[in-house]
Amino acid sequence: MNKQSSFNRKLIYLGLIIVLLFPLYGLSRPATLVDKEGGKLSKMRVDNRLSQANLGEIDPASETMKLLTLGLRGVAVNLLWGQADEYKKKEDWTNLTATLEQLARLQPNFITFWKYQSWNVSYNVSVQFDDYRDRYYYVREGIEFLKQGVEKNKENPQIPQLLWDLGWFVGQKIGRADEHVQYRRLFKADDEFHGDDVPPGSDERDNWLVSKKEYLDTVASIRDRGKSIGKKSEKIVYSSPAKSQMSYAEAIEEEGQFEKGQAAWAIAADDWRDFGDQPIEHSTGRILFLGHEHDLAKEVEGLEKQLDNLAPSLRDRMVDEKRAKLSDAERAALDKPLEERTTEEYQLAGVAAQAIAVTDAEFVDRLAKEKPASRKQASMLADRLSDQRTNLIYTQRYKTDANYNYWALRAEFEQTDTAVDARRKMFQAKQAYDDNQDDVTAKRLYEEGFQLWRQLVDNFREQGHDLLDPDGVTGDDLLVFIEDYYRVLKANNEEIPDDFPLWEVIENFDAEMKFEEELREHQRRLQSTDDNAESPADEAEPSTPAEQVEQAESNEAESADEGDAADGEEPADKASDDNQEASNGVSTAESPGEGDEKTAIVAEEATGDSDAG
Amino acid sequence: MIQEKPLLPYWEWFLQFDADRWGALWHFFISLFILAAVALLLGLLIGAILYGPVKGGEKVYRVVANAMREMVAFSPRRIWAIAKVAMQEALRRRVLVAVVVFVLLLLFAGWFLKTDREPAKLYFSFVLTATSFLGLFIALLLAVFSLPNDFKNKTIYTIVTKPVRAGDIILGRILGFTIVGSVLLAIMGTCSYIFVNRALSHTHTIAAQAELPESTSYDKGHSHPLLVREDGTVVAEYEHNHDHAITERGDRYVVSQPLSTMQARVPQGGKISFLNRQGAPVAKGVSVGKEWGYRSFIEGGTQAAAIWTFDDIDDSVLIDEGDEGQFLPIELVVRVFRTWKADIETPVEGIIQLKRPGSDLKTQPEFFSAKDATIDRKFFPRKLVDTNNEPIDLLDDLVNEDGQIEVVVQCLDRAQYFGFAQGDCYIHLRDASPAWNFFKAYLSIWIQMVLVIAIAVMASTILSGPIAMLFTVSFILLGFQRDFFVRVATDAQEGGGPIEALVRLVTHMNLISDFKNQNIAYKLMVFVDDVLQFAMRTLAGVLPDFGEFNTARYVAYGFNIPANQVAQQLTIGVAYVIGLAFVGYFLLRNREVAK
Repeated sequence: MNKQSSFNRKLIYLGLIIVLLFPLYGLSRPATLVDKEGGKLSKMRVDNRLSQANLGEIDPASETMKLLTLGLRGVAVNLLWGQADEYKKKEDWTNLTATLEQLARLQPNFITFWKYQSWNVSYNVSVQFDDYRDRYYYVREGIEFLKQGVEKNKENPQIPQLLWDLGWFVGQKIGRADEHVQYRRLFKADDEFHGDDVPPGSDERDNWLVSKKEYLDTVASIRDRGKSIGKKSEKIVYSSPAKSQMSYAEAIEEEGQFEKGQAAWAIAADDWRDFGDQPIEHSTGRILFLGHEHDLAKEVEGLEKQLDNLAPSLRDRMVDEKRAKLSDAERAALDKPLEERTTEEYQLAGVAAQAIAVTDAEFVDRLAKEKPASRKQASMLADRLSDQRTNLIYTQRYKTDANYNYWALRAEFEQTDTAVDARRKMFQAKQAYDDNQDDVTAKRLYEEGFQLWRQLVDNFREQGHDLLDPDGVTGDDLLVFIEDYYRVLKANNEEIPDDFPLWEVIENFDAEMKFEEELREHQRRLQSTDDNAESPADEAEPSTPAEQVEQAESNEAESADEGDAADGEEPADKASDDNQEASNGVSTAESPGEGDEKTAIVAEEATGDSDAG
Repeated sequence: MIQEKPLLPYWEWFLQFDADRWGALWHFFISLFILAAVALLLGLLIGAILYGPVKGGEKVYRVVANAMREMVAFSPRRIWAIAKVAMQEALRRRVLVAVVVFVLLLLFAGWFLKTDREPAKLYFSFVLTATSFLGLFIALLLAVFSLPNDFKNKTIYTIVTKPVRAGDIILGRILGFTIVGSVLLAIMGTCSYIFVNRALSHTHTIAAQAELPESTSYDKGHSHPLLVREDGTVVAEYEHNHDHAITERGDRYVVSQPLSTMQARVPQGGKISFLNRQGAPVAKGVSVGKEWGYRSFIEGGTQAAAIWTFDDIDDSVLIDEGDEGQFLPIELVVRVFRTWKADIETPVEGIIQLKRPGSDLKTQPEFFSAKDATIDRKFFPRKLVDTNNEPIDLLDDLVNEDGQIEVVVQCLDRAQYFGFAQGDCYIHLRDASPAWNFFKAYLSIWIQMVLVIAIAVMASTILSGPIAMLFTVSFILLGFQRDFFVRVATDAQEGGGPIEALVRLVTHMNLISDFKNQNIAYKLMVFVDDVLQFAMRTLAGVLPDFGEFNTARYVAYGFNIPANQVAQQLTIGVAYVIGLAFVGYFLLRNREVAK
């Protein structure tokens, strides 16, 4: 090989290098601020929603670590996960966090990693410590870690999952832990977390409001940027911001800030309405609006009327025909008033009622035969009706799942001055007793407060809303106050008086039976006074215990409200007229025993599949 | 500090000879004997096949006799000459690049290391691990390609034509590379020490205002609460594993550099025992359900107690505080386990007492609030009061004839628990020099490096470069995972031997499913596994436990590396070098070129 050919060879190599540079440029040109798209690889990064598409966003440490593993990233990651588990087992928290940092650099776009390990730190590692400050430190470490994950995966289609978790950690882990009083205090004072933008002492440092912000970001990322929430239910995701707002209001009232709390509840009510206006996708793909149930019910009703109006007497005729086919026994059972039926008749009547029901399809078929001209219109109406009926049923179910009505009512009544006064009195009473051991003031304040609660419950019952609905937590909240009140009474060897305005709460919400004996005594005393009052008039009738209780209650209401018992019953009746759900088993004045049983079942269902309660 | 395996006293470790355990020396001789026997048999066999039994035997005899002669006649001068060649070769191969890589690593370490609550621990772990991996890698590259290259380039002939023996070549290379490696380690060590010092160094400011603020400024991820003592001096409280001194200068306060970030506590450990809730002695406390059984727990509000017995208690373990008298400095780590939260802001309470072993004489209980998983210092003065309020003397009354004293710790809160391991209570004798401790940690790395060089040189006498490298890397990896390897070899690891594990992996078979099928294929696999496991057990006998060489945790936790530990490691290092040099010598002798 002579010198010339060697030189030529080098020239060819050089030429080839230059030629190859072009495809290389096309392939791997990074996106910059000027050239937003970049080369082929960069485009693929954008398409696959990897966040490091822009030159300015590349994390050099992460890239270096990935390169350093020489293609053995999977092996390295496996080893590190194993090591992280080992460190956790051996309580070496410093090395655990260091290992997680390394993993974060090796697999920054693996969403599960962030979810799993941040949970691990916030929930599992934090509880290993005895000092609540140490606990808080690791709760925050987990949150910071999750934030880092969010930062690195802004464009990832699964980003709402991380954002939502962030809202959950900041809200629930800080605001609902046993240490929530301490955690909330530390969180507010945490300059490192909040940075300089949020000055100390500002409301924006409240964990519930920070959580709300994260939830709003979650919603925005789904609504505006088309990201996916994965398997999480939309109704939970969309209700989260309002829920955080309510928790905020609750928390600050617990801390004694009642004016602020009242304002916060007003915002919560708005937020809840906004949630009601959000389109929510049902698992079947239908779009539901939880706040629009009333309109939907009206529409269904209207459609039913329109359909019937096509042949005004047809449906009645059809019912009569079907009725004629019933056996005598069935007919007799059906005609008997509900309360007079025997069990057998009750069953018979049920079968018969089903047999004489006319479905829309039967109605349309018959109509088509009798009035062929209306056939098309009828079937269109029937289709629409069935469609809207399904929507209505799904909406009702989702509302139950989300405990929608309870929270709407809660946000509404918490805004009232009576509620705020009642809560303030409870707070002051507890303070008077716990801090100053002043049981006289405490007792007075509790009693004034309970009167206000009674008033509040009655006011809302008048408007057809039950604050002591077992689906909600107001009754349980009140029971806690009653327990505190009882503590004060016990200190002076006193009992809960018979004219205590909230016996109803003790009866219905004392799941742990803490007041079992007091309640029995109370009922016995009432019974004896009733007997004394009734026996001269010779009106004693055999009655079931449930009725006795109800009777006792109405007596008590009479004595407390000076004969307003009739008013007290009216709203319940109204409720059964106004509210469609009442027919599904909300208690009515006529059959208290049955009503209670049904509501209990409803309550069970609600707690079974809802996170809302 | 976490010490899962107790450290045996040196001579016991080295010479013990009973049913429980054979000391390291006997282990060494047995290994050497078996190795020699196997080599001899193999030599005889090969000799017999090639040259017939008589001539073969004669040849083998000659090789062995020659070796014996050469072994006693090795010349330091020749070894040094070879070592110099090895060093020159290493420098020619730009080994110093490693230093550049290391410095680069340190420069960017800040990106990878988050300032944590225990920064010293993190930084020390990092630099020691980084040095260890880089050091071993360089040693490997240096040593493994050197001899094969010499064979390939035929440069070995220029050496073997001179009056140099095979043993000299082996030892010379090991020495040469070791010197180069040592220089590299020294540079890395110095850089690391400076890096850690720099990284830990920081100060805080205290806002100049009429009233003293609650805490110092927030720097390096923390601030220190300020405390005004009775005499008016201000102190910065212990936070993030260190504190600062504060001096008043005019109307300003000046915060010093961190104190005690780098520590080398010299502890005198005791032997732990437990009392159960009825006060009866038991081997262990109760388990609270933690996966890691290192600590066991005592129940609060009962008679359960953890007791440490310390030997050799005399004047020398007390610290003398001049006018204030003498004190016994006890340090205690408590792990708290609550079965109910109780008052969240109130720590669980405990008591600590000194007791004379074998008698009921105890000091009045000293109450303390448990600082979970933190070293808590307790100073017991020489003059104490017993439970009957009678004055007693620590040394005269509480120490028994055998020079022993007991420390008794109990938890007071009902249904709450304290967890202890043996290493959680000790007498803090003094602090050694952190720099010297750091040096000792590097000495451990150095021994590992020498081991790797010796293995690599031995392997490269007979294998080509890449193969020798694979061999050495496997040796290192297995050495680091020795525990696991031994568990697989002895069937202690779920999943069975290598073949069974492979089948389970490929077929996604559950670890618990029975593998002992009557099928002939299964039987065959189990048989192969048995053979392999026997081979693995044999190999495990000579496999160095690299994990044992890791002394980084001492430095990271701020404890002095015991001289005993260093001595044991040095002994192991010397043993391996001797053994490997032997094997290397015979292997090299076997190659045509070096005869």
